[in-house]
Amino acid sequence: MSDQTYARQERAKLATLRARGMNSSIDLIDQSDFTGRMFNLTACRIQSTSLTDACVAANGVLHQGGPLAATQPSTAAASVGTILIIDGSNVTSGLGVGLGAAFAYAPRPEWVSNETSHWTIWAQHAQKLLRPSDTTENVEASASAKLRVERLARIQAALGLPALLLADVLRISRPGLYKWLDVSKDIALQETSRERLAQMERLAAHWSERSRAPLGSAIHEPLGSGTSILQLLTQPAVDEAAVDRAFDEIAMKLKSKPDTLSQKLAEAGFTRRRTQMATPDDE
Amino acid sequence: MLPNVGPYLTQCGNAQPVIVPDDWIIVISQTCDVVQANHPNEPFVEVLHCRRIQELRGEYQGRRSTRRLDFRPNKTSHGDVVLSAHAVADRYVIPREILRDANPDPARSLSDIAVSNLQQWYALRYTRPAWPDAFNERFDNKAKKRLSNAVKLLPIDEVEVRVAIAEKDLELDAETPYHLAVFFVVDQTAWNDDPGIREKVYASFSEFMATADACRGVVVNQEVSGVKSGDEFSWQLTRVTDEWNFANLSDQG
Repeated sequence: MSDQTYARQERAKLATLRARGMNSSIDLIDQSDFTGRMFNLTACRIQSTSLTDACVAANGVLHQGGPLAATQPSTAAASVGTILIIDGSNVTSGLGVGLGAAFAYAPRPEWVSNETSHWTIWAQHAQKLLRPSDTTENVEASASAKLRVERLARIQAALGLPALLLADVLRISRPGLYKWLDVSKDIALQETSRERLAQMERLAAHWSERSRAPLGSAIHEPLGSGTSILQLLTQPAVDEAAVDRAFDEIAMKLKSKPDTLSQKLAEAGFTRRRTQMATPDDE
Repeated sequence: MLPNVGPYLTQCGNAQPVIVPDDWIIVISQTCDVVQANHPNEPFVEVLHCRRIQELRGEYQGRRSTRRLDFRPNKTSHGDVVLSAHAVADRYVIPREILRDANPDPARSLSDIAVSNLQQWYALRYTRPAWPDAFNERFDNKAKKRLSNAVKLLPIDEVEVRVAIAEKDLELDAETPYHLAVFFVVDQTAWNDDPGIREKVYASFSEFMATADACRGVVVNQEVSGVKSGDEFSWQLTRVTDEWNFANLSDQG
């Protein structure tokens, strides 16, 4: 089917959608997305490496757009089908404005469809994505999202790293890490990410076997080999045996580290006043 | 004793409240004030008239409201008793002298937790920071519930949630975001010795951050926020931050 024919057919479907009214297919436009920013919903037909036909949903009205090749998202360049793109630009009106920053978020694989009846799928995705959720809904966390967050919490509990370093260790971006840490987000982890996560989980467990304290700032400590644990953990291919040896070395160092002032105070009998806080169940 | 106390339980211009046997009259004044040997030094004590209610109400339990508190006086001895009191309308100052020859009801005593709860509720009314109304409005009920659930994961005595608000004194228009930094401060001993607590804290922190950051008009500074040990969280940071409290998310008034 040529693009021209295709576009003509889509216009007819679009007219039908318009006749039904936006609210019948999408309940909410101009809502916060999962990270709380305003967005527009963009649905684009992707042909090969160009976007040849596009529609933008803004303020409850579908607008038809033109070629978008100049702004195509690289991650979807090879896809053919319908794609939903969340616009984080806080823009709510108009096609031209909405599309300008339409690719602030990388499209998720599940937003891309190769189905012929992609408008239907588009509407289904849109309904799912845009139901009144953002903060305001009690987002039902999926089991896999819960498990992912729990695994990360275990790693953090053992390593005690700030977010930036944890992202480096997992070899993902910091915003990416925040998404991983958000239980309301279902994320299909790529194979490399899954393996990296599993590896860090293993290494975190190895550290926990050596110390009850978090690794924390010791991650920067120079090792006998001249490197640091951070350097070892951020390698593309982590040498687990080398990390284990480094853990041994650091664990020994930590044991001989002088107490902090509060530890000295505690040992001398100066303890914190306990708080008799009421728990929700007690109150 | 009630006949002696009753006449003093009046508010200016109001009729004396009805006090039924199920009500609790709780002496709020410090013990040292109540037992002060020199009567003129402490001529009055303060009491709180608590009425029995059926069950805890979400908006008033957990010190969420500085105006009204629903609480259990003693979960062990009075497991089915729930009381409620208003911070202004149910507070009275009575002459200490009338308590001189009276003893507290031996069948009724507050648990340590209830005492602490009441103390903190009183303190909260006068010490809570006045966060801007426009900031508070950005946390709807569902967001508050999600935040509340996140905080419930925490071992209460070991962790303190603190937030810094960059625009803490400003009522911003709807288009301008508030910037927030969030800290979960963990007792140093728990931090060093208890991986289980740290795991709970990190899980709670993640949920808290995701929820706060998803609130429209609230931008959480992820770079500076974090989980800190008590050793690491400095005096300076305590001055920059406020303790997180759901009562702070109510009107300033």
